[in-house]
Amino acid sequence: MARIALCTQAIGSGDAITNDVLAMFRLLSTLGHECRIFSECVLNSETPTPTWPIEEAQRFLRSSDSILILHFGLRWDAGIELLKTARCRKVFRYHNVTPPELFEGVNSGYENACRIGKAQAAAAAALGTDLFLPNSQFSVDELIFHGAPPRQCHVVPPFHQADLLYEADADLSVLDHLNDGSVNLLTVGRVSPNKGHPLLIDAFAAYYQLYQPNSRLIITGGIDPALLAYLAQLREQIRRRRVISRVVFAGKVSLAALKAHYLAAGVFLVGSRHEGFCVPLVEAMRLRVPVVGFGCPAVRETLGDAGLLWETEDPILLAASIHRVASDQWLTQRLTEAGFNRYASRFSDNRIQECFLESLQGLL
Amino acid sequence: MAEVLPSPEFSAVDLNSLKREISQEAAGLRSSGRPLFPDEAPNTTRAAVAQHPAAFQAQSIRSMTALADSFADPAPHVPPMHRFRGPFRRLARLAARAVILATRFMTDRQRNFNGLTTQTLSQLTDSVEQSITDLTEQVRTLQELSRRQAQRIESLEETLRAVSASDGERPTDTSAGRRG
Repeated sequence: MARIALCTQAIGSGDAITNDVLAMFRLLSTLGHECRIFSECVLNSETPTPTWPIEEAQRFLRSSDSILILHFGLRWDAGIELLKTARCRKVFRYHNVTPPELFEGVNSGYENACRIGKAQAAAAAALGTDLFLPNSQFSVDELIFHGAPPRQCHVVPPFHQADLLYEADADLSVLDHLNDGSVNLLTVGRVSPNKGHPLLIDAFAAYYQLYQPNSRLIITGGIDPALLAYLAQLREQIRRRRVISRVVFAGKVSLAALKAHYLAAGVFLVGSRHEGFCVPLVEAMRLRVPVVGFGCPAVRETLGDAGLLWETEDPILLAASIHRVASDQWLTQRLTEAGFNRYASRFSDNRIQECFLESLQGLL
Repeated sequence: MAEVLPSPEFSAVDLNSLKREISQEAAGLRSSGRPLFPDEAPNTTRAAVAQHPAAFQAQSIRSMTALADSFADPAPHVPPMHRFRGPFRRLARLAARAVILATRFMTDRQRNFNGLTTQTLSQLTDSVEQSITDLTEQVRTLQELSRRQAQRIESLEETLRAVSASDGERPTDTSAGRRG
């Protein structure tokens, strides 16, 4: 049985990389491997698995047949250093890095971290890594562009909590509050410039004005104190569009409240200008919520033909699409069935487990 | 966890033709001259409702207050100091503890202010939300009373009509009096 170090820059709760790390840890431990999670910082104490400081990973990986799985999604000097110096078999799990220009004028620290992160990912692609596990074909293409050998790249979608969410009980008070006869449009993801909230707010405002005054836009996702300038821009846009009372920033919510949001949603909106994968789409497909939005490459790859995606950022087009889906039960049923089938055939826990273990076959 | 299986095949949606139809609809909307966004429309009831401050956003306020609360204490705990090993870590943690104690001493008043402010905001949110719930309940009760009154008037009118008809006279239009 192998000794495996799962390394990530930060571990918290609810974010996509943490869910991926924890699921890998559980799976590999169940198979009898000696696993440990190493991290530079623990964001909160809710993490159910003990984590070790990243500085101790090198010692844990002392034998050459041990395996390092490095999760990378933002500038991480210690991680890249470990990837360079560790004398074991190495796996680079690439979650993609947000293009720095999306943080321009919002947060120069993030802008810089993304710029350096992109350069570090490019450098990692050129290193002698045994295996690359990008989360999508979009990320594979980026690594190959930077010199990663195509034969060593295997797409493994990120592990997620969609099944857990499906089985969770919904928060009934939240559900009661939202089921008041309004058409609820939902978007899920942290409040960050790459998620394209300005487009979604305009699309909602147009839908509200042209089609359905009894509607609401729910923006669910963590609010980062470092991105309050972006939040202020969104609030100003909402005020200017005169839809203050119809747009809800729900913040980071519990699993039960998130389930209530999905159950109450008539349409799931996506407006991301950049994603490495887009886990909320998997949740929407699992919970049979029809998806409408703007499709950046990774979003198109995740959703396929199971939703109504446009390649232009046009709020009127989105408003008309929302109306079409929200008012046509036949269309909603077709789209949600297509979404569920896509989920079951590509993104269920079992499929991702198979995909992950198959990719690791040469190393385990 | 049980395996999730695809459901039986449904006839797929022809996305291309659907998109063509939607594009035409969107083009029609643009050329119609109608206001496309609420801020382009004249001040109608719809715009007023969307702007109305009574639509109190407790959820948004709670999430922001919780976020503020997580930053209320400038020096909450001693960091683990993983960068150091063995006795150096113990020393580093001791030094960090000393710095934190000094910081806590210096920021005592600010910390109290932060904590009290976020607590007050939470209480304010609770009480406004409670008031809204109470008022909504009162409105519901009034609506119910009004509905019952309307039913009662309607049944009285029917009775009157029936009495008039049995007298062989033309039914009396009692609603005219109410309108006036």
